[in-house]
Parts: sequence; C-alpha cells; structure tokens
Amino acid sequence: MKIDRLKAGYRKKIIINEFSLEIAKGEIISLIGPNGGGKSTLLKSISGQINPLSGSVYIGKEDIRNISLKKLSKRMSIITTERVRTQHMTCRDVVLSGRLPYSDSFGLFNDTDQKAADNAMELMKISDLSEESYEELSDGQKQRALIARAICQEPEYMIMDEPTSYLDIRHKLELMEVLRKLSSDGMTVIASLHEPQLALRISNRLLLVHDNGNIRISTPDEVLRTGVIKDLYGLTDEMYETVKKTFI
Amino acid sequence: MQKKSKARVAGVFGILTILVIASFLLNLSIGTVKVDLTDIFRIIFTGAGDEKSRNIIMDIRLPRALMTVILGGGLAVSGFLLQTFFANPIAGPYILGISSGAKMAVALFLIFVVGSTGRSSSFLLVLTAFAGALIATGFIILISSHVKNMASLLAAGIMIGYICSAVTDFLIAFADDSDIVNLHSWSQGSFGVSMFFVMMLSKSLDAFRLGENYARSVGINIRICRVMIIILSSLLSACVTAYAGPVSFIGIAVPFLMREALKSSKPVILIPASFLSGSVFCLISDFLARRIFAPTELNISAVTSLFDAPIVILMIVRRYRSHEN
Repeated sequence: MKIDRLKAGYRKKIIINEFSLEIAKGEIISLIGPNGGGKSTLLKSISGQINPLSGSVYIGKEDIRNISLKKLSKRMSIITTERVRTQHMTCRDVVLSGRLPYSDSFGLFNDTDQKAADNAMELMKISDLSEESYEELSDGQKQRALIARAICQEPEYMIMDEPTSYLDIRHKLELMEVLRKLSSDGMTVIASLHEPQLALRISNRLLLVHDNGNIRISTPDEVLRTGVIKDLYGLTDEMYETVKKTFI
Repeated sequence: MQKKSKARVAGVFGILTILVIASFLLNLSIGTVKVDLTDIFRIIFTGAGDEKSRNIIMDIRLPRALMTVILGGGLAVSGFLLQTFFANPIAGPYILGISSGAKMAVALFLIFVVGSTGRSSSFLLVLTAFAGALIATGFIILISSHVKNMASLLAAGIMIGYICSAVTDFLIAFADDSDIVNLHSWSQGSFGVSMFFVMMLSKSLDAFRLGENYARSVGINIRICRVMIIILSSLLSACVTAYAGPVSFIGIAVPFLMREALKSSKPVILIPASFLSGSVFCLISDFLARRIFAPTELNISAVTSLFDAPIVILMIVRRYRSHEN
C-alpha cells in the first residue's frame, strides 16, 4: 500500500496535512496522538470511506477510488468506533457478516464461510458466545466479535479504529498477540491505539498524529529515544515520567 | 445456520404455508352465499358447477382473495424495507405517511384527470400512487437528515400522514372515489417484478444490519442500495394503496412477529416470511371486515388496526425494556 501526498479532512477543513508513506505487506502501523487530532479521519481516508482532499491511496498500482467496492471488500476490512445496534443477531451472525463478500447473491453462507467464522471466533476467544444474542454481550465481548468479523473477512489489510476500546487489560494484550500473528501470516494492520505502550510493543512503525494535523513517521526505538510522546500529547515532565514507566 | 434454527425456520414456513392456504380457502368459501370446498376445487380446476357459484368464486371471491394475498404481503415487505432503511423497527408505510401520500395522489388523479377526461387505467392509477408515495418518502428522508432521533422521525411521519389525509378529505368532498375499486392485472405484474428485486436486495439488506459503514466495507454500494429500497418500498405500498387505500399497521406488526418467531433478522428468510404472514393477516382481516357486520362491509384498516396496533404497542414496550431508551 502506498499513501501518496495524502491530505485528509472534510470539505474545506483540512485535518491531516499532506504526507506520504509506503507500507510493506505484513507491517503493523499504529496511529497514536491526542483525541481529536484526526486519527479517525486519516483511517477513513485510507480505507476509502471518505475521499481525500488531495493525494491518493494506492493498493498495488491501483488508486483505491478505482477499485470496485466488491473487490476492495475482499482485500480490506475495517473496525470503526461506532456502536452497532442489531436486532435478533447472534454473535455468530455478526461475525459471519464479514463473509458477505464471499457469499452468494442472497447472502447465504457455505461451509467455508462457517469455518472461517469459527476460526476467527476461536482466535478472539468468543467461541462459547457464538449463539448468544449480540445485544446481550458485554461491550468488550461485542468489540471482540467485531474484530473477529474483520478477521474472517480474510483481508490483506485491516484498518482498525481504536480496536482496544472496551477491552480489559488481558484482552488488550491478547489482541496484540493476535495482531502479531496475523501480521506474521502476511496481513497488514493499520490501527489507531490509545495506549502508546501497546503501540510501541507491537508496531513496526508509528504515525504520530499531531493536534495541528502534522504527521510524523517514526519507529518504536526512535520514539523511546527521543521522547516525542511528551510533545505529542502535551505532557508535563512529571506526567511523562509516569507514562515512561509503562513503556518498559 | 445452526441445526436448531434451521428446524425453526422450516417449522415457521410450514405453518405459514398452511395458514395461507387455509385462510385463502376460508375467504373463498364463506360469504353471503356459502360454497363447499369440494365445489370450489371443482369450479377452479374443471370449470364445472352451477352458474351462480361459479360467478361468485371466479368473478368476485377469487380475484379479491388473490389481491388480498398480494396486498398483505406487499405491505409487510414494504414495512420490512423501511425498517431496514431507517434502522427503526417501528417504521412502516402507514405510520410514515407514505400510504397517505399515495392515497392523496390517487384522489388528485381521480378528481382532476379522471373527473375531467373520464378516462382511467390501472397503470396510471398505480403510477400516480407511486408518485405520491415517493413524494411522501422524500419528505421523510429530508426530515430524517435533520433529526436522528427515532421518535421525532415517526412523529414527523404521522404528521405528514395527517396532512395528506386532510387534503384527501377535502378532495373527496368534491368527488366520490368509487373508481378506486378497479382491479386489474397490471399491478399484479409490477408487483411480481418488485418482489423479485426485493429478493435480489436481500444480501445488501443483510449487510445493512450493521450500519452503513460496515455494509460498505463488505462491498455494498450504499447509495444504489438506498435508492432501491426507497423505490421498491414506495412501489409496493403504492400498489396496495391504489387498490385498497391505506391499510394500517401490517407493515410494522408482521415483520416484528416474524423476527420474533424466527429469532432472526436475516433478510433472505424474513422477506418471504413477512410476505406469507402479511398475506395471512390480510386474508383474515378481510374476512372479518366482510363478515362481522355482514352485509355491511367494514374498512379493512379498521380490522387491521384493532389486531395489529396492540402488537405494535407491545413491541414498543418490550423495546423500551430491553434498551431503556
């Protein structure tokens, strides 16, 4: 994937200033930065949900805007921060909906789809919740179901907006393991994370999304060495000392 | 799908099919003149039988029963589509004022076009109803882009319904609308076509259940899908309204009951299930409308309201309990 002089925002309002980046297959890229800095906007532009103000996102040689939604849906899956409300869907139904790109024209699934959903649920440790009503799951369980959904879509790219929200510390760490495994199988993950310590642990590279819309591309080593986190979040010395302890 | 839910689906469809056939035969058989089942079969399949019974069955009851099957099914499916579109289980063609919009357009057409030229055709009638339905739907969509709140949207729909009904009442003061009961094969044709397209939409509707962004991420073109939903639901409710006037609540109560019975919201199952049970509801309601105060005939909407409005209230209460909002 190649991000070429991308500028993102809504209408006239620029939220992300121009930047370019080439992402290798299987890389894990984390977006970190303060609330309201534009992480979600950037992710939406990368996944084609909103059109960039200028510049392009290429998958292979093709501009993402020229790839049909049908084709794109087999190559890219997303996780958004919006809350999903369903009626009469089991946890399994929600996970299976990730298989719609592969289903027949009535939205019916075959054994391969069922198997993919089973595997994804196992990976996210929600197999026993399979037949539970989605509405009755806890927030954390719902989030894991949505992640399982994105996984069973079997994409090359997974674009995740705050995938760790609602998860408790154990499930956060387990998710990091899952992402690491998926990336070693060749899946590229681009995720915004609220926890710099997690981002530093699993990412190949980090995008530091500043309040003013500037993007700085960095590596975990560099972030640790230079202490840019302090500026990024506008921390006082004292706060930064506390945060730094969690990085070890 | 797991085994248990497969058995449930098969069971529900089995029961629905039996109910459709039973209520259909009931409507054919019972009326001012009672016709035996054996006679009905003989008349329909061999054309034999005495003149009088044959006329009653072939000219009056059979067309009416067939129409009722289609109307009930159409209303239920139209309701299901609107519920998916507005992500709101209480949406339906009647409550959102779409049926009333169609009725108003029909009344305008009957008075100003038919009244002055004396010509009418069922094609034009359905087309006019469709235009009315689309205009009412347009207003609802316009309002829904400003208010996200479900309750306000419904309130707006009910108001639009009132406005259209009021205009219709004014118009009716100028002319009578006896032309409305003018059954024709065209609407059945257009109906079949729209049902086909509705089934083809089931995958998109399936994806819609998780909201637009996720639907898009599994390859659904949101804009086309939205337009299709609106056109089809308007067309279905227009077909119904052109021939039977606004019929209340079937569009809400039936899809709700089917979701509960099937414990599922998968469109590919729910669309045919809603259609069948909409037919059953309409057949039974029509039967009651004809028979309760026979020979005086009630408006079918009176009967459907009586049975379906309590179901809708139950549904709102249950929703309130489970979501507390």
